[in-house]
Amino acid sequence: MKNEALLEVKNLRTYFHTEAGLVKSVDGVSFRVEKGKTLGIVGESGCGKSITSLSIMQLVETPPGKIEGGEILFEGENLLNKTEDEMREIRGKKIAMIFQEPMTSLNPVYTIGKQITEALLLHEKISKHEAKARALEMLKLVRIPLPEKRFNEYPHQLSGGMRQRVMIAMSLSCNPQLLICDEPTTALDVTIQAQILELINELKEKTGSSVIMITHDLGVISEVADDVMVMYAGKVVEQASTDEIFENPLHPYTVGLMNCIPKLNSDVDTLPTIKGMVPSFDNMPKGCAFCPRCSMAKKICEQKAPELVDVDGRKVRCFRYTKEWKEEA
Amino acid sequence: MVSYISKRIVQTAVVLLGISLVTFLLLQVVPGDPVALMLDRRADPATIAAVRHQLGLDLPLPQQYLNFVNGVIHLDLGNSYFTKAPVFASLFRAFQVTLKLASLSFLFAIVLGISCGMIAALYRGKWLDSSLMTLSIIGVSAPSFWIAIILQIIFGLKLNLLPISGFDTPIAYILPSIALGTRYAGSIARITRTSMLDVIKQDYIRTARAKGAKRRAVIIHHALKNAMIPIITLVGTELGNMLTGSMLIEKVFSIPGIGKLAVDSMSNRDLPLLEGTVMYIALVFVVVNLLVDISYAFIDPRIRYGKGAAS
Repeated sequence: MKNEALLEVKNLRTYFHTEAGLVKSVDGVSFRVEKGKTLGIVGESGCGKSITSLSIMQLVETPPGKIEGGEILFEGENLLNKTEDEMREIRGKKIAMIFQEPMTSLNPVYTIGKQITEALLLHEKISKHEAKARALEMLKLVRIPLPEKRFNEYPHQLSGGMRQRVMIAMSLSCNPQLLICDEPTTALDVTIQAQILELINELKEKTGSSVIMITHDLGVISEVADDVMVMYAGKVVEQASTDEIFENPLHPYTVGLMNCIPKLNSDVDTLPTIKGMVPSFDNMPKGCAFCPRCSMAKKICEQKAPELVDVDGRKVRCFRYTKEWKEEA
Repeated sequence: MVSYISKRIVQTAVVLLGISLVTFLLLQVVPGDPVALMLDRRADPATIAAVRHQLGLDLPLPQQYLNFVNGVIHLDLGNSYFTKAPVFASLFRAFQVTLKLASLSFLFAIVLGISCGMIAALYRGKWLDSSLMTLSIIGVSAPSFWIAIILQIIFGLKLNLLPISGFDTPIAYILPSIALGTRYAGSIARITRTSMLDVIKQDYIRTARAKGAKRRAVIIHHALKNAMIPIITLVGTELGNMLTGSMLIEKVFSIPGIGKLAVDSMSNRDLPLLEGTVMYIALVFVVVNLLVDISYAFIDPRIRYGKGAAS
């Protein structure tokens, strides 16, 4: 804990009260984001990574969703104690967010310019004219060609990559301390993906802001993240630095994810997968949530849910690193 | 934008020409001879033939059609067989009355419908939503003449606040406008709610909230404009319906509008008046549709620029 934490989430629990029952989308998640660093959150669809980020912004639809407990400390203040008006001051100004679908995340009936200046006019005491100048500057910063022309265009006139650049320009326009990127490159071509990641990295360096990068793609993590948190079924299963996790993944799920990355020099017809699916909320195993898909599972994994344990300064939620494992021969 | 609008105007003209042909042909095959109705039953064949000649009904059909179209273009729709008054003048007089009634009930329906629909969408699942939607169902299903009579009894006879018939003072239009507008307000409220709920789920609404915009500002600026397309489609049809007159409401409140004119012309086999009325109704719907299409383009840039503009 050498650096100062910008964001510290402690035991966050966000549940959804649906007609079919209670869904624990985020179930006791804790992590910290240091100033100027990037935290990667990895996991399959439905593991709770997006809900975690929406919880930080307090944009979870209530009902059915509800933040049931925990703390979200941003610059030392608990965001969960803020009023809606205070949260509005933080959204877009101190914490900004980029979403997965650049196609649908921009409003189709307003020009790019109007949508970028909206954030500026909300948070900064500047005139429309100054806001336009700032917006053009931002468009140049994210390397959009012909910014003056693009300023008056509508989202449908731009390509997917351009739209995501606009989203980035929009979210960075008020110089936020924390940028949350929810799968920012998933909907884009591979080449565009690389450009966008490079851009996010570069702007992060320039502005000194912290980033939370949510993705299911370990390749993205290896490029941008300093630390990694692996989530499974609403819980953290492993936390470590990016180097550590790529060198030596501890949790069988992380190992499985690593094995799923195709290697250039291997000559196989079928790509490796993790067998089975994320368990649905009404079919959650009694023991470890990953147990039904785990090739190393023992009896104890079916009976008890593992706790997050410390292993050499890293955290992992698996019985393999506990005394019980060795006792059960 | 300009090319889009001019294209739509040309299409409109073609549609009107088609309607005039269909109207003309349909009225030829309608049973009943207008001349026989006009004259005494004992009129001799020579008189009938003379009258037919005088009205141009003995000409070949294509010639009759051309005369009709020529008249329409010169705003000359002939004279009524019965009152002998020019059809255009009668139509125009009835139109002025209907226009007042339609504008008032349109305003009533839009303001009430859109605001109720938005409130219901914002309070989805709450008691306010359910009660507004129950009211809208009642509004949509209750027959307009029934509402008219109830309004007359309550506000006219019991409370003695508003006149129950007539068309010469502005307050005389209040009850008929409400009676006519209630049904439309109900359906506008329902489509507004559905459309708003659909738009509120969209990603760009979340983006706007993530920027720190107020919930109310997000609803009004980001959601409503996107939700307008289905609402405008419905509102356009309803405006057409209102402008072409409501026979029932006009009957209950004794208002001499287009509805009454249409009924009279039909029961009298008054061909010129009937042709004129049908052409008027067609014109109203075509023009309203044109306006609806043009307003789409103002609301949604994707329509304005067409498919080819997306890169």
